[in-house]
Amino acid sequence: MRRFLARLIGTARQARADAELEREMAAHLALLEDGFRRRGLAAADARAAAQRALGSAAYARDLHRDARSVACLDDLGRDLRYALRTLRRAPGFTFVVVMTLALGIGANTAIFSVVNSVLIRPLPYTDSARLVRVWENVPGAEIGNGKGPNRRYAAMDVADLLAVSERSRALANVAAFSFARATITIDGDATRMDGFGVSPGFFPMLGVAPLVGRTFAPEESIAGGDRVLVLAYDAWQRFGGDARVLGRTVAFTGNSLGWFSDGIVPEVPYTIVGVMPPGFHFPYDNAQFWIPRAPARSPDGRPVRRETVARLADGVTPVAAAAEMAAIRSDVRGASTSMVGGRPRYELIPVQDELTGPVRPALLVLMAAVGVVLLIACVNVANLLLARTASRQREIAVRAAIGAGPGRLVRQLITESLLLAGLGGVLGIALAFGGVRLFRLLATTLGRSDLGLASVFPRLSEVSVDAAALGYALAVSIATGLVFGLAPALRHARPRHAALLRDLSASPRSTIGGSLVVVEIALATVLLVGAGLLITSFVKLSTVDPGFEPAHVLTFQVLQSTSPRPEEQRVFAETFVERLRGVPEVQSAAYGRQLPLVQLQDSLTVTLRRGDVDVTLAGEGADVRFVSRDYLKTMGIPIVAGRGLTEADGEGRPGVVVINDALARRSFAGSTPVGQIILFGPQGHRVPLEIVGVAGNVRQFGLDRAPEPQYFMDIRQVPTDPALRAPPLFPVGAYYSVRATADAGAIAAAARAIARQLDPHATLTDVATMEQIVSNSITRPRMYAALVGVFAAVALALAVIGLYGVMAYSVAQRTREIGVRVALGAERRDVMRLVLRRSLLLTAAGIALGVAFAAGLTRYLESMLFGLRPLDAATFAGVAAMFAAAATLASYVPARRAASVDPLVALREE
Amino acid sequence: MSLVERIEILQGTLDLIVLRALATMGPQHAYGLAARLEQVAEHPLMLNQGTLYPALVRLEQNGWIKGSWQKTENNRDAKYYAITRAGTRALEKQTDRWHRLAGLVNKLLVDER
Repeated sequence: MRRFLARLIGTARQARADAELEREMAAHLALLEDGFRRRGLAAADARAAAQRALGSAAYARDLHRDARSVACLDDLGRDLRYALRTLRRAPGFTFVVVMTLALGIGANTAIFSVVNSVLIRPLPYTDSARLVRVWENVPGAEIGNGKGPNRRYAAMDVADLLAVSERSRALANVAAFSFARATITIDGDATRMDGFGVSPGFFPMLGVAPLVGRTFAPEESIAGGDRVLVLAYDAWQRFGGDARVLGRTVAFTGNSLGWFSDGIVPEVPYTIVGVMPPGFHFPYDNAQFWIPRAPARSPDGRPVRRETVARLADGVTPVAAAAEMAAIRSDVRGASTSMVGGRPRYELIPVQDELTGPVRPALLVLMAAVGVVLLIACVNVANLLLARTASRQREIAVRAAIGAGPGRLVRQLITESLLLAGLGGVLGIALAFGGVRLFRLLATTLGRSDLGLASVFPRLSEVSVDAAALGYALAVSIATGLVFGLAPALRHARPRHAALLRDLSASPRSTIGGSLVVVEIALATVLLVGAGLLITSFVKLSTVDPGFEPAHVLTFQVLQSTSPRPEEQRVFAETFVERLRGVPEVQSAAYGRQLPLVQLQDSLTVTLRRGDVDVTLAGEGADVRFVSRDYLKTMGIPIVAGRGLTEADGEGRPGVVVINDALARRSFAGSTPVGQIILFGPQGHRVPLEIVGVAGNVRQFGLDRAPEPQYFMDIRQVPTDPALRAPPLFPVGAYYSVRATADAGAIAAAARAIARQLDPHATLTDVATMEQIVSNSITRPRMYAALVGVFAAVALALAVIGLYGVMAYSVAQRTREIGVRVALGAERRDVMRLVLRRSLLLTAAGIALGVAFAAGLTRYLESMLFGLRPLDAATFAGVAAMFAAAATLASYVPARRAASVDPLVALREE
Repeated sequence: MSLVERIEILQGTLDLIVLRALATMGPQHAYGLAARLEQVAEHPLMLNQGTLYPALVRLEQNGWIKGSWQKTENNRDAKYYAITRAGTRALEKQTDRWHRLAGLVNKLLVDER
């Protein structure tokens, strides 16, 4: 034991001990030299003789080190050196193996980095696993006229919220928040800021200390005392990023103060009291500021909902807390349902699940895909290694003959595998860094919440290759090294010395190689089918007719430094668009309360006047669009019947409306819609609108969603009298669209100049072409298709290389047999057929197996597919055909080589 | 028959020889030991002097000998090894074992003949 310890220490102190030995041997050499000189040798001869007598210094050092250190560690060193030498002698083999592994490990590490950063790593808030979002299921009987369907809200009724936060024991904290969007003028430029009005419990619940200053005091949530503001780190940078920002006041202005900003009082100074640390973006990535806003019941008694987040008390499950909440609600309101249509009244979902839920299935699919790539890489490398160890059997036999035990041989082979895996791992990590960058590039969107949070990849800014990912890469490398190294090692470590030293014929390896190739082809087929489905789906999605012409259309919003009322905004927009039309390259310009693909929905019930009777179409809402008269033309939305909106359809003129085809087909089936009357507004204040035309359908809420019934009103005819309860004109500000021949940059510059003429601080924001907006909406399907496509391509290449390797090897092994066949009269054709038949058999078996697997697995892709089913026959058949073709190509070369075997040469060889 | 086994046998023997030499001659450096061994073996090619070092390290690790840097009579630096008390005890034990083993082997070899 003592010796073992000393050795262990010796191993650790290798370098120092080496130096000591060097010194001792030099002394020894000097003494020897002295001795030889005394015996009369010349100086040079004495030195040479001394060296001879001492022996090779390196050899001595090795022996010495052997004695000094733990044998296995030292063996490892020697095995490593040996392995390195061996690999250096086979650069081609090493290159292929290392690259194969690097691809496998790199892809895995990259995707793991994403999975870890998004799904596994907890959110950066104290004990974030206990943070939950509250969903409320509400029976239709409690909504509106009581005849609608049950609904599910990501928000709670404020009255219940207050009761729950007062009484609940299952919840440690409850906080409400609501989205607030406003404009702040910084250095003379109007700047849009998205933020959240939050209840007093918000910051204490999250448990994150501010970087600078403080968060809100409880009394600051009371109306009047709440003119304070906390900035997010990135927003702070816009204010110069120093502590002097504290105490500075800002005033929110804005033409976008509307529905989403009812917590903000415009034109009133808010004092900046704190800055949150970087990475703090609760509840969403777009949060740039927070203001206090206590949840309050609406004065007119109408239900108000606020988005709610809560912290579970220690040890309480979400289900138990939800049950308690339902009980509190029943208690406060009297008898009430705690279940709604089979679902609990409240559902509490961990914040992280809520945030990352939409991408979880896809990330798991990607993880599975790279897992398959890695498996194929392992199989391929195992195959290569088998072939190589087979050709090294002589060397192994020699090593065994001079006394290396089977354990020692296995260790040597495993060391080689691990070394290969290690090299692959290092290169793989480099690839992973590139892969993560590519991922972020592919996942990056315009980042606009108005285009739907669905297109924004959650936690994308946090995605990185971190220590966990590196650990994962290490573990994967070691695991793969063992997996692909063990099989050949075990096969060849049991040496049949005598037989091996003599001859190596009749190895059963080719059958093993064959079955490995079948597995490989099957796995690659699965991946190719998946990629085929996703790519086909993406192609269908990106070529679907959106209902408008996105090319040559630029869109943007204008931020003003003042806070105009809606009617004033309309005047501004009219003037602005009028001047835009004056720009020579502009073909048409328009504005409206939204654009295609902007996720702003205003579904109103449709009331028709039939004769003298007003008929409200039950359960058949339609989406109302307030647009300027040039909107349809600018967007390239076709008029399929009647006419569009014109200059003459202004304020005070007879009300007109253009409906879309979907609405015409649904509500006017069998009759001509043009000329009929739609009523707009609440009972008693109804305004008749004559249908003057029918427009084509627009995929308003996503290319993958069927067009919904819509109608277009001339925005000049929308009543602004609050009594008429029309939806607000510009809940998120006006959207402008310009169709022009000039490039987007020039048009944007012209538009900015015109805006500045009207307001010296005005800026353009959310500038994007319609093509960008369309492309943005399919970011995720594109990314999934691209990534799985790349993985499938790698898998295909590896499988084909594997097949080629096995066929080439088997041809090389059977050279003699083929020679005999040719000598006995076999034709070239027959020989080729012999080789091709085997390869096709392997391929067919692999494809059949793969198709069977794929058929069972593709249903997991269902939610990611558009316009085709998971068992799409064309994709399956196409993949099989493609694979068969690639495989035939791969085996053609070995088959040709087999056919050109010269029997004389082949028979003489042995 | 394998290389490994051969080294193993040589090793035990070499340890014994070194201990014995240090016990009778007093502290010696590696060169001195090698010279002594060649002399005793009457065969200069038997020992590559470098092979001595593993034995020395092993013995030192066992605590049986102890090395220290000193000057030779010709004023050169050399590491002198001296046998320790544990080494002396080990030498007795090993010598005893060797005698018994050697006796056995001798007897066997004689009988075989």
